[in-house]
Amino acid sequence: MKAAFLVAMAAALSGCGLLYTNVRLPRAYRSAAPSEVKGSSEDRIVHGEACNRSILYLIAWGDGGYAAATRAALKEEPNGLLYDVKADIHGTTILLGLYSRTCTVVTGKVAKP
Amino acid sequence: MRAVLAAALLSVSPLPAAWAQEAGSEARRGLISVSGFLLFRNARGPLSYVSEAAPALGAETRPVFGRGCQHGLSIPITMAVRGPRIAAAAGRGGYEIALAKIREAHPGLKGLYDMKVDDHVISVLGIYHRVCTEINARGFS
Repeated sequence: MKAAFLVAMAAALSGCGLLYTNVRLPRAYRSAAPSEVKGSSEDRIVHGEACNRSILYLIAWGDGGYAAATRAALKEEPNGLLYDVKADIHGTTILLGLYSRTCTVVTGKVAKP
Repeated sequence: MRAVLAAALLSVSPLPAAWAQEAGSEARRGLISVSGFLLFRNARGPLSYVSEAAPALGAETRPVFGRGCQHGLSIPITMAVRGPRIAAAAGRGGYEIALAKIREAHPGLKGLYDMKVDDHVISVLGIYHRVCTEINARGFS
């Protein structure tokens, strides 16, 4: 019983499912710096979010990678180029991890490519 | 309290580590991790890569995608939940293969910029694991 509890807690803390996991995790993002694009003071600030979820420590799913987060940020201007990008992680855990959600949040300005 | 502490220590795995990375030039080992007595491993994972800056205005650009995968097996040799396992891992999942696939699909590319790199992790019953390095970028020529 204690072993099962430990395994379940480990799964909850690691964000993966014991039975099935299919998630995308952010690894690296080399975004453009303000000096590398022809930006203007009128460039919009946008933000996008992409999430992985797990439930009952058993199943984890989602696309929480940089690609999905930047796609969400650029959904209104798919040909735009994000620059001056800030990337954060937003974690939500309910009832000791019975349900958890971890999101990659990117915020940046949009320039013409 | 001891159980919670032990669980926290057990949770030290590649998944949480993947959330704790920074800019693209940081070196962070991306070798697949399989639990058990590792009988064989011949795998390549991502470490670091610095892509180009955005090209001059007027260059022809297009979205590109490439990936490379590592595979792992972790097979229980008893019926116990936390019993011993034998494990093996193989595959080319590093930047080199992912970038080679992009070059193969888009001959004539001069470089990549706005490069997003994600790890695509699949695990089934803790027995089969697959970790793919996926590159989404803009290529210019």
